[in-house]
Amino acid sequence: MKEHLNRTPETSRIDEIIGLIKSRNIRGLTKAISIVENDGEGKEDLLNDAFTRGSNACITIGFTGAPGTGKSTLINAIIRQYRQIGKTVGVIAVDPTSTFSGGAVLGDRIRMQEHNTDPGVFIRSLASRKALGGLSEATKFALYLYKAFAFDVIIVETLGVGQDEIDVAKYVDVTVVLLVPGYGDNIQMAKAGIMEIADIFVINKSDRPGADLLTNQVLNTVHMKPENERPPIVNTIADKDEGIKNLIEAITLIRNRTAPHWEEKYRQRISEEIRSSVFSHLNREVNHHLDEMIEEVLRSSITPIEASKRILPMIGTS
Amino acid sequence: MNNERKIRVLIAKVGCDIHERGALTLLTSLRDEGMEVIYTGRYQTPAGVAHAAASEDVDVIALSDHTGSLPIIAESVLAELKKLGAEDIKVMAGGLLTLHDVKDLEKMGVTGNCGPGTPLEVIINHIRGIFV
Ligand SMILES: Nc1nc2c(ncn2[C@@H]2O[C@H](COP(=O)(O)OP(=O)(O)OP(=O)(O)O)[C@@H](O)[C@H]2O)c(=O)[nH]1
Ligand SMILES: [Mg+2]
Repeated sequence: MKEHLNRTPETSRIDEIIGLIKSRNIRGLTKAISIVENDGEGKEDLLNDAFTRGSNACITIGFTGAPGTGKSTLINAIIRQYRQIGKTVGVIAVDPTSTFSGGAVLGDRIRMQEHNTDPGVFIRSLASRKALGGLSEATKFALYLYKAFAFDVIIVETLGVGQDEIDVAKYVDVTVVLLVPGYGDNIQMAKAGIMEIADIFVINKSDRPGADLLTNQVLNTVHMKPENERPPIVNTIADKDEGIKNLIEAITLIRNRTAPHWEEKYRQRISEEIRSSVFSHLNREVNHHLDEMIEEVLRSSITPIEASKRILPMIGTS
Repeated sequence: MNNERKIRVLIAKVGCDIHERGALTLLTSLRDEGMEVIYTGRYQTPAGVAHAAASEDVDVIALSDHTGSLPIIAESVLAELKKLGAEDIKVMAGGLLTLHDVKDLEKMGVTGNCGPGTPLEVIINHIRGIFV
């Protein structure tokens, strides 16, 4: 039975894709992302390959901030710098899915057009789909596929609007939070806990009035932290290429933190990974029994809590 | 689950065409149809468009042009796609098109070619039709 299953056309297709990724062909990478994103057949094989071959040698950087703060423009400028020193760059750019139609306009790429024909730069846009503007499961998995593809630098752009994208910090080495002067949203972000996840604060649009005020406000916030944990604050004007070198220096400093810091971070990441994999299996299994239990609860023969206790022993038996 | 396969479309403009309205209208219309849409912006090269399409794993490239150059543009985009091993990506064209252009395009395998005033439903149905 297994033998037979192993020889389905899908399997050879997955092998072909893995082969393409190994030879650093972008068609392989992008097809793999689509399969993983669509929960398609072969997803686990692709991810297992990525987990096996991917290393932490690259640097992964997450950029998050309210809509229009200049994330894509800043990333564009950063790619330029990294390319100048010969580093290959992979970008995952996430935009929100429209809750009405399920469609999305993926608009980040347009700000990074100048790198379109550079073979050392790969940009893939993703719609957030399930996740509310945050780090969807697909984004996280794409990150592992990128690592297996062995870019020197991997950049993730996510919208910093809610609790969800705090997730991004767990999966990247360095989290950069963008703030801009004259935006009420800065306070929103503070509420949502975005301020806590920042390894670096960027005050972008520093050409705008109010930049000094905002810088001081952020300075006051970070001063509440112990000195060795204070995130640096970098002023940038992304569309004028200003402050980019400083930002890269700040990123490098964080990347050069000591081994124990990374060990702790990698442990957290693996724990998160195992948990979320367990939960997604559970979810699937629970769905098998859900309809039946809903009926029972509706008929008031059992409570939802009792229903859950009935489902638990059935897990893994079907 | 929201994870059903979404149709991904790249709307692309090559060369010196300033007209953007058609492309932008299509962008939001396709989103409202539940598709995931990427726009290249204006003044792109065929190589840039092909590279973007190959990276994004789109199903279709919708070329938009109002300078009467669609067959030439399509031909070069197709050639660039081939170089990248991305011949599986479909190409369609919209904008200023003569009957002669449409014939030339169809010879290259570029279908769903929409002249001025084509209703949006026709374009949408063509894209959906590729996947049935
Ligand atoms: N004045 C000024 N404008 C900037 C700066 N950086 C970016 N912009 C402009 O801000 C606008 C939004 O930039 P994007 O890079 O698209 O911002 P984003 O955060 O990626 O936006 P979303 O992905 O839609 O959330 C564009 O018009 C940029 O040109 C800056 O430093 N100063
Ligand atoms: Mg953006």
